[in-house]
Amino acid sequence: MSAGDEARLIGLARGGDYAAFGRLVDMHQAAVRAFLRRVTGNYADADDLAQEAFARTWDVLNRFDGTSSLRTFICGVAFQYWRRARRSQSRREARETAYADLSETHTEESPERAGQRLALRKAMEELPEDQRAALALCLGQEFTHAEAAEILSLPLGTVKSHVTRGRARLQAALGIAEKSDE
Amino acid sequence: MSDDLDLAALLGEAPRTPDPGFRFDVLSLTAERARRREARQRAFGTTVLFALVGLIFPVAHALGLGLAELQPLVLVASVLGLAYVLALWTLEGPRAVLARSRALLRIR
Repeated sequence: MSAGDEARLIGLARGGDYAAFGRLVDMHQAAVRAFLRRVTGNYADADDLAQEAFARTWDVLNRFDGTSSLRTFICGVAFQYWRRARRSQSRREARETAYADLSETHTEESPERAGQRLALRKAMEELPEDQRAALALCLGQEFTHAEAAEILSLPLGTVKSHVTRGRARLQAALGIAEKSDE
Repeated sequence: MSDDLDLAALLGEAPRTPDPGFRFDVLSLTAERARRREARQRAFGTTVLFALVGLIFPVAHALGLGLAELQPLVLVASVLGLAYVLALWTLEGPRAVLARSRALLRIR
């Protein structure tokens, strides 16, 4: 879909057209959900947050000025929701949810891969919020560093540094997991 | 396992195709929030209106106006209020005599 089509859909959605907004949701749900899944580590929580973020986007669509992409705008909203949700949730709860998610949604994967995922999840939880979010945005190559900088309201250099350091931490965590598996 | 995409996949995968269920949930949530917002605005409007009506007599009393002086004003306000209720009844009531006209004119 072209930028013109998206602009037309945004215009319709601003006028209260739910069908147009539904199409925008379809266009951007993959990127937003992937970001939140990586940053929360729990698919159900991530999808709940994504729904909240899209619903909020509907409310504030008039504030979208088109200087960035709509996908970036929605992810910015999603990031704020995640930060708010994270502050109202204790670390212990988050860890328990991550374990529950491992056992519920990935039962078909090998124990080795499940172990890697768990190690990564633990490493992610130990990262600062901004670093974690930068990794979640950039690792899957859905967002460029510049887009991540815009979403997180951080300087570009900081985002690049977050991604480099965060990636090293995750790789280190995997190394530890691999050694312990042997 | 050092590849970024592998790391991303381990952390959480993106849905491969747009999920209509997700879209439905978003639109339901959006509509629900809009309904709640409208209900809040209605409740606020009603509260303000009744507060203003309730304030009429104390304010009039503070200004030194008695019931005798206020009587014409109260009469006019009552007639206007009654006319408003009757108009609403005609437009939206169970018999809705003017419902078709309202639909044609798209009066909400």
